[in-house]
Amino acid sequence: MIPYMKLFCFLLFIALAGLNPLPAQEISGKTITGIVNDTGGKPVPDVNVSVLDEFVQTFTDQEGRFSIVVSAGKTLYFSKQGYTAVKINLLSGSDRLVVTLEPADKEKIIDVSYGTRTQSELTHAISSISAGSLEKTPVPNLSNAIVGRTTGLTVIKSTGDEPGYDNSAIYVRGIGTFNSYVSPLILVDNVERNFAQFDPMEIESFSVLKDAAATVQYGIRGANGVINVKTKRGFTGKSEINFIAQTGFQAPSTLPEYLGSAEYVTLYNKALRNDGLPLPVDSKFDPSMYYGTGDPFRYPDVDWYGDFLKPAAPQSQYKLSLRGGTTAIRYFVFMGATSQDGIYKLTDVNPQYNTNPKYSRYNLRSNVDVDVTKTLQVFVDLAARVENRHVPNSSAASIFSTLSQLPPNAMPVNNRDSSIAGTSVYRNNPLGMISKTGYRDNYQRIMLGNVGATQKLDFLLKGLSANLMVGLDGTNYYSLGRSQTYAVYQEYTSGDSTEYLKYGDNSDISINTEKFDDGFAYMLTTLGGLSYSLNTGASSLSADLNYMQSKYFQNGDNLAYSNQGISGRATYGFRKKYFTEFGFAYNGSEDFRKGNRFGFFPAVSAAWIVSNESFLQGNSTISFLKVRGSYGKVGNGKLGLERFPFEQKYYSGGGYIFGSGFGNTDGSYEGRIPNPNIRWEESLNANIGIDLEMKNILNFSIDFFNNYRDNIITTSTNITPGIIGQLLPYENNGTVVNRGFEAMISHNHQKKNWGYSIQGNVSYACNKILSMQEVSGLPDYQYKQGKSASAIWGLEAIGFFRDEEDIANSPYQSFEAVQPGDVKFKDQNNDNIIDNQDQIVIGDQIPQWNFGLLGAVNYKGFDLHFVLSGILGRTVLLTNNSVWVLQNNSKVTDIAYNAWEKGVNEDNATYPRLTTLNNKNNYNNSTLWARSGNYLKVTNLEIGYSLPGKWLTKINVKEVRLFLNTYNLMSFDSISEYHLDAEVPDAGVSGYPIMRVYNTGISVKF
Amino acid sequence: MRNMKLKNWIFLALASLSVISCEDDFLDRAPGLNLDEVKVFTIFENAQRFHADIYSHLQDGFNRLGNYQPVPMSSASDESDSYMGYHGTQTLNFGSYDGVDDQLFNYYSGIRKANIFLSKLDVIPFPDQKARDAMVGEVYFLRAFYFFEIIKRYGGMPIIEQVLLPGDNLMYPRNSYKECVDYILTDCEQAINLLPVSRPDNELGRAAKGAAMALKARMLMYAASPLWNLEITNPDKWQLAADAVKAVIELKNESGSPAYELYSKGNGAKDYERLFFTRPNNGNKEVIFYKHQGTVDFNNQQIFVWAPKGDGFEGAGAVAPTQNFVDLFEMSNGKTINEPGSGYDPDNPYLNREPRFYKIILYNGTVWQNVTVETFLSPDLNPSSNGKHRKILAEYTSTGYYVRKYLPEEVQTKTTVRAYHDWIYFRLAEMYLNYAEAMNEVSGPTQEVYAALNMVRSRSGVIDMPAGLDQDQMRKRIMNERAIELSFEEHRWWDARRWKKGAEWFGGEMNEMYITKDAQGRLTYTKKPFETRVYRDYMDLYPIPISEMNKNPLLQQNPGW
Repeated sequence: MIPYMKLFCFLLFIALAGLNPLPAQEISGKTITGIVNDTGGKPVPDVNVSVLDEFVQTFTDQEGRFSIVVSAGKTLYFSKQGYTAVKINLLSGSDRLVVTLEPADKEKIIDVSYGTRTQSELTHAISSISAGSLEKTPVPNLSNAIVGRTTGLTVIKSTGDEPGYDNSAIYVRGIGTFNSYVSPLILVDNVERNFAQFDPMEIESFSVLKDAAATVQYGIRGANGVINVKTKRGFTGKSEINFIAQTGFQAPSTLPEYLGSAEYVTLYNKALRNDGLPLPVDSKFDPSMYYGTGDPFRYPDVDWYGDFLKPAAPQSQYKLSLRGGTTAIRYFVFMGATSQDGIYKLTDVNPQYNTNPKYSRYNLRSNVDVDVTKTLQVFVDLAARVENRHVPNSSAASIFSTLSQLPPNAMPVNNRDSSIAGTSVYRNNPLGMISKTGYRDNYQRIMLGNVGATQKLDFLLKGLSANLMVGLDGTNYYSLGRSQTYAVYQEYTSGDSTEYLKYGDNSDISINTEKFDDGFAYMLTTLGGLSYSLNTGASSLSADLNYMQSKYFQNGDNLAYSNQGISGRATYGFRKKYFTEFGFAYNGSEDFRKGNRFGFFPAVSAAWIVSNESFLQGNSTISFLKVRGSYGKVGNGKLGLERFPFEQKYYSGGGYIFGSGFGNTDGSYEGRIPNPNIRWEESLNANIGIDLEMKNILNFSIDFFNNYRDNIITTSTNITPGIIGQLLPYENNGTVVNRGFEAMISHNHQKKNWGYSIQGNVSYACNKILSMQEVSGLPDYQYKQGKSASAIWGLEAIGFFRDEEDIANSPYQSFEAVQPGDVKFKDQNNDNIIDNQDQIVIGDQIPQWNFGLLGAVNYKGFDLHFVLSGILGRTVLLTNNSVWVLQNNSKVTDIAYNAWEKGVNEDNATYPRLTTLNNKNNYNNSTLWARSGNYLKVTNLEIGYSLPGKWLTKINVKEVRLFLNTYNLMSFDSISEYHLDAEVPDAGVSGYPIMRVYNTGISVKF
Repeated sequence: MRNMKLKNWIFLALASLSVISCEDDFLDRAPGLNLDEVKVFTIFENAQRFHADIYSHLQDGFNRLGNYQPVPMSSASDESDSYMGYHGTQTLNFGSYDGVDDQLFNYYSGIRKANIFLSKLDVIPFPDQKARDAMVGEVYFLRAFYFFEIIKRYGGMPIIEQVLLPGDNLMYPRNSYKECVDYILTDCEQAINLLPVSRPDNELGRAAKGAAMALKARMLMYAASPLWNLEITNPDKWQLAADAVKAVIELKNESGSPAYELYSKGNGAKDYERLFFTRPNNGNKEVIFYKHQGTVDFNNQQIFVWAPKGDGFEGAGAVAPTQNFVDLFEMSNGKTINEPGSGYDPDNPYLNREPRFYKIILYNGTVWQNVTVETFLSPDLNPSSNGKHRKILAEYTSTGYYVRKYLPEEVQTKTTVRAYHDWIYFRLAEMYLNYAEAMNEVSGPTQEVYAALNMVRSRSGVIDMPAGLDQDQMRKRIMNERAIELSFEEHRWWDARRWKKGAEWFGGEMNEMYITKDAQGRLTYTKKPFETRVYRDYMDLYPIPISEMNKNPLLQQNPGW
């Protein structure tokens, strides 16, 4: 598939390169020539010169000259990005024109919910990521590329980077509830969509809406923050063609390192001795058998990771975009192909099929704006995406769990007779899992469409316009697969002959392809409204009123998810100094009872542009200073999985078997007790911010927030006796306060040949449960109230038992009989029993601090970009079997050398005595296994070189840039000593590893 | 033209905005798949489904405890051992009970369902009185059964007779044990009055009259036992129990023949073995009430977890009978192994044991599924002379034994054969033993007592109980008889408690049989302790979970916890 795609891209690229958009047509009329200059008198090239209301246009050349044929009475229109467009009526006058373009008002336009505001007018707390920067991160999944780039976001990978299954968890301003639903609302082009599988080249802006003023338009859906993504649109001007081809490879950032057979056996025997178990009478447990002379089938020393994982796997991305337009039609067209391979070895030992994971994705997009009349603008945005994921039938989790479990001497990969080896204990062999369980192809076909129109209604009221948009997204998904099973064989010697015990069954690959998970889903969104804008010089007024409804259907036994509501906003500005805004939403959720569904969510905000006051005007350093404040109410109406908590439900299911057959007698049962009055969570959010620009020195922005979430959707499980015999109703009961700040500082310096820019950002969010339903009379430390909603609870380890006397004199540990060398816990409530009542907060799952440092340097044709990202205040529990050695028959890492041993290291051991048994005492969640989950990563680094422009003009090419970039190049953290990744400590042990990417490519612009 | 267009647009825009009163139907969800309460109870078929689901809180005892490879309760008693933490019984063996075998919510949920059904009797359109009686009788039985399971663990607990809602006062104090017993007996009486004696094949698994009578009998047995009669047991209570048991034994079905009979095809202990895999409709009239379920194959946890580990068997080997338990088996001459003249040979300990031994225990040398069980160890380094089923790795048997009872020999790792594998709650043999026990307490070892015991023994080809025992000797022999006949059936764990024998039997050292085989093939048998267990008297009752104690200040914790 990919080679065809490449060819196709190449051909299209050639075709487009030769295409000059809409050459001036030969029509009757006179030829007008002229020159376009800027205010400094310099000629301006590439200015779009077009005849208004006609499809006629041309562009100025390098000397600013143009020539166009126009019939009399028409108007010429001169436009270029960065300049204010000029209209010249040709009723009279010369055939030769000299046009002067003034630089456009450089006020930045900010995307707010359902609209835009100029930067000075903005009263919201919004942070954003600039479009081009995401393209520098060579990862297919965009959720992994946004980390560190802006304030108010916490982005942490939730799994390893299996091709197509990598993903990050995203939080806006941390979390503010103990309800399990903490995800922000994510919108792309005003429709609830996930942006993760978009191509960065499709994205124009990525904004994080943080405070109530920004999120209030979403009302009941706004309390967890909103991410607002906009795709690129066309513009009036000479078309830009951009082609990027890049290819690279990904390699695991780190993998656990296990000890070889001799060391494993030595430590295993030690553990058996500790357990009081008989020492092995099998020479397999004699370390000297592994010193290089033993029979490798009987005494194997297998490096399972090395044998089954490649050091790296390729990935590539090809993309092409075309952007431009006339005054009447503007377009952005994009196509991209992305592929990423997995790192398994021996995926093709089976000639019938290859099982190496492969992710391939094709993105297509066409965003077109058409001015149908002078007052009617129509847009049609169509996008399609194909996502194909090829995986072996054994999941990455099971393959890595096996790789990380299998001791080096458990068995060879293949037996002497080349059969797949296994034992009665270890019945999985990665060779079988990878090459002999079949494969699965997961397909997703996604269509995204937004069609809409804006009609100016100036004839009714100057500045009024109406808009309507319909968004229709469809997803079709299914999996095709074939399966196979394999047997493993254990060699044993019976007298003089070698025989094999067989575990499992061999089967051929199933002949027929099976189809699974066949389904479709679609989402229909309607958005319409009025907007009004009036500027009288002294004061300005912008107002919007919107209606939104959406329905999400999924086939099968699923009920549609619906949203509905209106929202509005009015911004009043006075003398460009004082701005105030009132925003509201009135929207509802079907999860609540009729009559109890809709909530009113208001927000007020204001901004004072201090720099426009007379005392700061003309100030040589402070060019812009704004103070902002907002206060408002937003809601969260979701509670995770369960829906319609207001009504009594009876479910089909359960039941019992009766009679002589085997069939179940179907049952039905009462569902959770309903609460007819259940409502949404309400959050009162306050925000104060300052934006400061010091000319040529720095830009600075800081926001402080205080979010008070009340009516948290929860159950009273902690206080209601279990004799009720039923799941308890959802109630609105609980309060969490979430406070913090974000700051961003940036500095740019650009000289003729060189320049640099640097941006630093920091976000801090700290939440505390103020109230939840907890029983009274507990010791303070046991209350969740007063602690973080994302706290990790565990026991406090205070060392290891020295001897039997120590055990006898210490509180009784109730998990398992302890012996010297076992973990000793602190008796928090002094009841002389160590049990779960002695758990305290030992950390937090979500970091309080997020940092980012972004930099760019250019010198002549060279440029360098980097992103560093880091977090602070996060704890991880190391519970996987690279740390919990010998648990569940797993092997050992060198952490085992720190294990407590009588008379050897009693005072400085850092690890409990080794045991082959599953010890419930030592492997309790405790501070012993808690580590700082903080890290600083070199997320992104790119070096580029642009070919000198003079070489290119001859071949009609605007820019050619070669680049080399990396993702996740380095990590500074405190658990790399265990060869684990601080972001996802289980990656590479019980799941696919975290990958590091090296990538190189070329970007060509015409 | 243009104005027309504009007007259209305005109309559209305003129309879409006119939905200001958003309380329209857009957010009304489509009719779902869920049932509503009215439909559940006003349509008889739906009510039957709800009724069937009340049974779903019955728990079998094959895999009661643990989160991975769950094991039976027997591994917390002296019957067996399951040494892995995830098996779930180690915590109990070590004396920590909170949260282990915590069935409060499960059984109170079952009771809630029963109460809901009973509250809807006026609404449910029963086709006839007979159907109504049978269904209501089942509900009373199940409610009593679930509550019995609760008070067996905790002693007196709140009696819940109505459907509770969060707004109700839920701070119930504990009812006294006597109140609970009376309540259970009342429910049993109602069930006995309403239930039919026999069930046709298509109603197999449903409670019949005998089930309610057996529950009543067992309740009375427990209530008469030393745990609840600390100073001295009361013969009147035992008499009540004996009468209730006798009623079960003598119950006749509609045709006048005995409702229950011991499963005996004349094959001695073989019948004992097969009775656990034979359905009432296949001629097993011994079963009074059981958990009805489909057949199982080897991969079912009920089999797999128990089946021996190692070459040829490939089970998990997670249930290992202790030497303490094996020592309880009499010799074939009816003497206990330590009795003079028993003929017990410590060097050949499996010779001439009573017939049930060979059907309950897999020991070194048993030929089972055409494989010889090898649980010996070899002192030299040659692995091929090591017992195949007693490897050095930790996860093989910790005692030298595996369980044979409950393992149908035909269900093997290499076959797909399935077998019936029901969990029996009440069977007639228990009733005979109950009768013997109660009557021995009432009037000493009378002929009736002997007769009842020998009924059970003779079915398995066990020699009759020796004559001339005094009451105390008889009591011990009855305890022993229950240990063997009802082994692994979740009796001993509770029997030890009601007899207050826990500390004596379950506390202290548990022994394994350590067998070595030397180069000449000679086996050496050594009994040695593998674990020291903790049992204190207060463990006769479980602790009420701390979380529940914290929620309700009126609850009183059981003494000692």
